[in-house]
Amino acid sequence: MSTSQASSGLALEVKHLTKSFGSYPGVWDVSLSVKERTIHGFLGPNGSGKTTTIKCVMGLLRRTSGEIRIFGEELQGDGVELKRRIGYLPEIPSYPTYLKGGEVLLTYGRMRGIKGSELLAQSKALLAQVGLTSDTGKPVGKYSKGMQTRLALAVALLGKPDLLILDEPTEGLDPVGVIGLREILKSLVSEGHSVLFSSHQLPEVQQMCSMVTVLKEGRTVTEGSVAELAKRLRGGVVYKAEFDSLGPGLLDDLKRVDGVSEVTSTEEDVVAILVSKDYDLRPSLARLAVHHGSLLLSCERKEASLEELFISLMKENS
Amino acid sequence: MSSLAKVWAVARYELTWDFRKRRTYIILSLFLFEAFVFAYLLPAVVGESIVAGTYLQGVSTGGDLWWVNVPNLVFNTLMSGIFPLFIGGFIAADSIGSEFDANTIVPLLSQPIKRSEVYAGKLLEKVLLLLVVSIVFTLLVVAGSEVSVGAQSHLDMIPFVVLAEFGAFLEFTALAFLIGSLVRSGVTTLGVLIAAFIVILGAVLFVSLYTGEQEYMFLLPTVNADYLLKTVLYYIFQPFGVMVLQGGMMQARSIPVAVGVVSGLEYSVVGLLANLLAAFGAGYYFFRRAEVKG
Repeated sequence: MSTSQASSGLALEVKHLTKSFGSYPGVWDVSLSVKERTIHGFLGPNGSGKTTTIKCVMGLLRRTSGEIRIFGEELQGDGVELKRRIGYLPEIPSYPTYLKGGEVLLTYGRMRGIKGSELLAQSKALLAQVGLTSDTGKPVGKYSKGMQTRLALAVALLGKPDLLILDEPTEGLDPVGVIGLREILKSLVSEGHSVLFSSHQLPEVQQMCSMVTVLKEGRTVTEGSVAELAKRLRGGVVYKAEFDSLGPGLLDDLKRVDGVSEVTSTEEDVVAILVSKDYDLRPSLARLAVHHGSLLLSCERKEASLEELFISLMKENS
Repeated sequence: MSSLAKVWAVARYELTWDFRKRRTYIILSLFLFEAFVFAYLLPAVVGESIVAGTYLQGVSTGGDLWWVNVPNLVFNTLMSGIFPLFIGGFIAADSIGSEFDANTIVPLLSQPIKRSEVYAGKLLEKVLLLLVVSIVFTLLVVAGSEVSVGAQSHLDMIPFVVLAEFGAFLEFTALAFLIGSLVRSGVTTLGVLIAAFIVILGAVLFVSLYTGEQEYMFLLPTVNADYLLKTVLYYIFQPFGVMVLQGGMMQARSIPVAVGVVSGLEYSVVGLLANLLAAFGAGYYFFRRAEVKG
């Protein structure tokens, strides 16, 4: 790991990034701070601007405005010296199909300035780490999607970069591959590396990441630790309530109860109620049921998952 | 890591690609066929009216204007006009455009390497490949002519013929780099190259029919692309006149020759270099600005 890290303690900092494609705004206010030695989740629905942001960081797209700092240094021009500290796994990994798996690592390793026996040793170790040792001699064109992703991870790890940027890395991976990835990332962080983990797989983010930035329609809607986020998002409690009968009037009134941010009908006469304040909602539900000539048959309270909070956040910001 | 090492790493990457794609071998087969045409078919079947004496004799008779004789000798048929397009253009069409098509440009540009080094590496590989192809082609033709016609003279002209072929191939490579960087698609690059060739051919045919001149193929931009520009200028300034398309045209349009500043050879080499610099320079400008959106 490089010893020249700036004192900001941030591996990656993006401030008020905008990127427009003609009149279409790709991203229009993205801010993001990835602390060193953390796995930072980058969440958002499809088209929210995650990949556009990452491409701006990697210099594949020119930003319209905003600031990008990598280990405290502003990214300008080709940013060759800064890129040396970054390993990137693209959303759709594509390597020349005529190259064999092992050759891919040697090819990009040479471009990263790794030479001779060191390159051979690193390539061998990385292929073993991602479970591709037996497929080294196979052309990349014959790799499955999961194998291509694992190969891309090995390429991203070439040169032991300080910051890993992974764009949807679990796409195409089987459960064993996902567990393997999780282990690799945890081990990297323990060695002092930092990871930006872009995904729409919320359980993955919840399991792997300590920090998270949420994007919606090209802007950052929130950022913080996963635990803090759950707390900040109005308590993060879900009530699953079953009524004797659930008419439209009762449903409307449920949505108007103080602290309720989301009411979703799950089955007939059963609703999931996401509550922003952590207080006992059951008396209010019972009263409303009686008021509408119904009965509250059962009511179960549980902590909201990140997914439920995420959906709530998306709806809130619409 | 030095800049040169990075350029070389990209050149190696490019060379591996060129040597593993089927298109390269199809084109090189055509190239061998072309060598056969020049070494055997033209001298044996068509006769000495096209290839005067030995293969290299015609070149030497041009003296300082060898540049005019080389295209006469090497590029004076429709077939030979197409070969530089195939060898210089079609192989290079993949070089930049297809990287965007296949999305392989993403891992390439994500490495700690400047775009100028990526472009230079790709260019270096093409220069080396085409230089080798030009040398092998010339030697094959001379050796083949030795067998089919007899002892060859004027072997000292070999470097000039190699240079002329190399320049012709590289002109199409430059066009392929420019179009590829602009349209960011290998398939479209191929299409535009073919369309450009057909348009140029059509334009030259039109001009030659208009003027009644038979040596229209002389104007194909396979050696020096500014033939086309000159043709158009001639047509604009002399719409009802008669164009002279012989070697004298080179004299007529080489104003510096008339005032004794530079020779025809220098003018031709400078013209070729200017064409290459303009096309490769414009290609780099677009490559530098290209965004990876997909």
